[in-house]
Order: sequence, then C-alpha cells, then structure tokens
Amino acid sequence: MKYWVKTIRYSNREYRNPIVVIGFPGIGLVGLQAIRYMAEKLNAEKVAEIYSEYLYLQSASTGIMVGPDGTFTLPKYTIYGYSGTPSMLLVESDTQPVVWAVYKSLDTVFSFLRQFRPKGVIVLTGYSSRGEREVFYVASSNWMLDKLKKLGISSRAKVGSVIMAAGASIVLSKLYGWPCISLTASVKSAVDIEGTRILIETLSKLLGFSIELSDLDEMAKEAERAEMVIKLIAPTTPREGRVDYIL
Amino acid sequence: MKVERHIVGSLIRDVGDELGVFSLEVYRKISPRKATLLQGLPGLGLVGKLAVEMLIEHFSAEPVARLYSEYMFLPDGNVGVGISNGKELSYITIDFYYAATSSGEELILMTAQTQPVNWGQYRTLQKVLDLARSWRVRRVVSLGGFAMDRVGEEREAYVAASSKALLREFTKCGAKVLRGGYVTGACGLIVGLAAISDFESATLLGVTHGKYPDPRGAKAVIDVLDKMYKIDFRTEIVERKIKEVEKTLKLTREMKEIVSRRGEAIQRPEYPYTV
Repeated sequence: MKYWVKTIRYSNREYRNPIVVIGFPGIGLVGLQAIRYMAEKLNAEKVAEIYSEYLYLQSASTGIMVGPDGTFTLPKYTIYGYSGTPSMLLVESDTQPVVWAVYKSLDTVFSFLRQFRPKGVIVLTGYSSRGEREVFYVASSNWMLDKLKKLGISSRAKVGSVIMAAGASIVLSKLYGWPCISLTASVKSAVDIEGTRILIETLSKLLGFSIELSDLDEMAKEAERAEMVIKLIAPTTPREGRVDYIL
Repeated sequence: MKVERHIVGSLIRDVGDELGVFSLEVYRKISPRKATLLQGLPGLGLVGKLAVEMLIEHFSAEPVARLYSEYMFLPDGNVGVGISNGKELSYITIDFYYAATSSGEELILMTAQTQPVNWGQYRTLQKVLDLARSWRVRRVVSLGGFAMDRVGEEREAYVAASSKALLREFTKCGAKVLRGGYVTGACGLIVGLAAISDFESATLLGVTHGKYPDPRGAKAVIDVLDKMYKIDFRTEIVERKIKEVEKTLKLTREMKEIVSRRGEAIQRPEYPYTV
C-alpha cells in the first residue's frame, strides 16, 4: 500500500553534488534553529516542500499550525538550496514524523534528494549536558575525517544513541550510499541558541563558508526571556541522571 | 427525517485502492459552479457537527453522496457497523448534502458521526477533496469549537484562513482572527490540505466550554456564515436545539442525584455490541 505524500517544487535550479545538511526539531531545537538561521543568512532559496501524512502536530494529532497573522500551514519538510561554495541543500521539518513511520516518511525526502547526487550528509543534533559547551561528531565513513581532526572536534561521543529522525537520517544515508556525519552540540536549555551557534560555527569551518552570526545574540536574549516566563508559569524540577540519546 | 437514497452513480470506484478501502454512493448528480464545502465533524462541544446539522435542517437539504472509508470507526473506537432501533444497520460514513441560498450561493454540507481515525485522516480527507474538485468546489471551510474556560451565552467565532484576503472576508462578517496555536484533527487538516490543493480555505471556530454539545457555540459559527452567504437562518432551530440539550443535561443531573441519594451501585451495562 502506498502512503499520502505531496511534494511542491519551487525551484528547478541544478545543485550538483551538494552537501546535504539536515536539522530536525529535537533537543534544544539546535538542529532546526541552525538550518533556519543558515537558510536566512545565506539567502538560500526554497527548493521544495514535502507534505507527509506521517507529520503530526506536537500534540500527536493531525492538524495545522496557525501563525500570528491568522494564516496557517500543515507541518512539512522544507528543503532550501544554497548555490555558493560549497553547494548545499538544507533540510528541516516543522515536527518529527510519527515513530512508526519515521523511515517511510524520511524516505520520501531522501528519494527527492537523490536526483542531486549528494556528496554527503551532515546531520545537526543536540544532547542534554550540564558540562562545558562542545561539539562532537560520529561518522559513517572516512569522509571529512581529516578536516574534523584538524579542527580539533572531538570524536568521543557522550551518549549511546542518535534517535528519531536524526538517527534514521544516518541510517538512510548509509542505505542510499551517501557518507554521513552527525555533529552534536551540548544543550542546556529548551531553545538553546548557544548550542545552535557552536553548531553553525563548526559547520562553517568544516565546509569553508562564512556566515554572519551576530543576530544569534538577539535570539539568545529572546530565548532567555521566554525560558524565564516558562519557568515562572510552570516550575519544574530537572530530572537527575544520565541522558543517553541524541535528538 | 427518513430519506430514501437511490444510488445513481459512483465517482470513486476504487474499493481497495492504494490508499485504502473507499467507496462512494451518489444519490443525486449536482453541477455547482463555485460551491463552498462546509465540514462539520464531531469535535469540541460538537460545535461543527451541530452547526452543519442545523444548516441541513434549515435548508431541508438533500443528501447527494455518501463516502465509505476504512478509516471511519464507530464512536466507541471499534471497527464495525451500528444498529439503530434494534434492527436497522447504521453505517459510519461521511455524508454530503447540497443546498442553495436564495441569493444563489451553493453549499455542500459535510458531516459524519465520527472523525476519521488519526492514521487515516490524510487519506480520507484527500478523497473528500477529490470529490469536492469534481463538484467544482472553490472554497473549503471547516467548522469547529474553540474551548475557553469561561463562556457566556453570547459567543464569538474565530477564523484562520489560507490567505489574508479570505481572512478579511470573514472578519467583515464578524469573525475574529485566530492569532497563533494549532487547530487539531480533521477540522484543521482538511483546510491545510485544501490550501495546498488550490482551494481557498478557512477554519471557523465557535467559542465553547467544550464539555458537552454546545448549540450556542454552533450559533456563533452560523452567525458568521449567515452574513457571508446570506442564509437568512431561522434562529428558532438554534433555540430548539439549546432547549433539547438543556433538557438532556437536566435529566442526566437528576438521574445522577437519584443514584447518589439511594447510594446504589452503578451496575455495569451489558456490552452494547456483538463481536
């Protein structure tokens, strides 16, 4: 049986052998924030939107997200294209696919990406930590390993798994025959702009592009204010213990 | 109202197609020019369903089609078929009615006893939109409830739309703009799907307590539609519905009081179904 999916293509520009950079809503929202920030600051064009019956709202039901202006949208994957150096396709989604169809849902995105013959895939993720700020990587092959080592990025993973759409992206990259790296930033808050910043900094050094980061300062202040409000409304006790996954 | 249904055709013949088991019975062939599809399915305060049911009553609208879907379950969550009056089979389907206002506006009224199950909502509502396209529907509007802790007798209606131009049309008719948040279930999904399928679409939500059937919330929605489509709605329909709900609530309260006064244990009812 097939499943419901709809792709809307906005640009037919050719991106030859791009590097695919992926960020989904996960711990600290670092992956998603990084993709959205880069898409905006690099003036990346929207290449496509992919709608899937497996993208539910965060409340685990189907539906729409209403914006502050009263217009709405369904949850979707968005793919942006950057035609500078290096050529990149930036991939994000509004929500995570439902757990029983993560692979099926992401496969529609990967099969769309296949036409561009990607050079490799970089997945941006976060893990919860109270320690020092840092980024570490895990890799499925030798791709970019020399550069990662030169940049002094740690290869010592602090956790035991990469889960949900980020984890499935690593698996699918392997199945599609594309080398893959996961870059993971330590995260300390629900919307962690500092974690987002170190991911973008690391990625820009790794791939050799420049990007203006000053707007992240204002975003950090806003996130801090929002977090203070949330703490005032719903005080919670942080759960102790080891968090053993990356999202 | 008992309506004789004679099947005159089927636009969707694909029982067991790639997206599931669907079948459509058509009772009357219609050719609207630029109709609006109004969806009212069970949800918060039953606002959407009540609104569409009251519009069907107002127009004495005729059924035009009925969509069967494997994703339509009984209200208790089971797969199957209902039995009414001890003998009649009651199928869980999506029913469509046609109505035209005196000013020439054409409406397709859509309702059902339940919403499609979560995992079949995209597939079922896509079939609905395919059908709507065959009827040359131009606009899709879902009706639903917007739950608030405190509500009075006079209610407001909120709208979110696929475009700012459409939002303005609704606000001119008295709706307030919904600014942020989510519209969940079929009420949100159908307009989201419609928006990426070249329909105009909007969701219109009546303020409700959301605890039990709320005709006052439905009235808030109908008031906006009344102005927009010049329906000239007969308000006695709402008044009667309000009285019916209040009577049922009163009876329920009295029964609870009797049971609690007598200290009787509530006996487990017999299973209302066969397997």
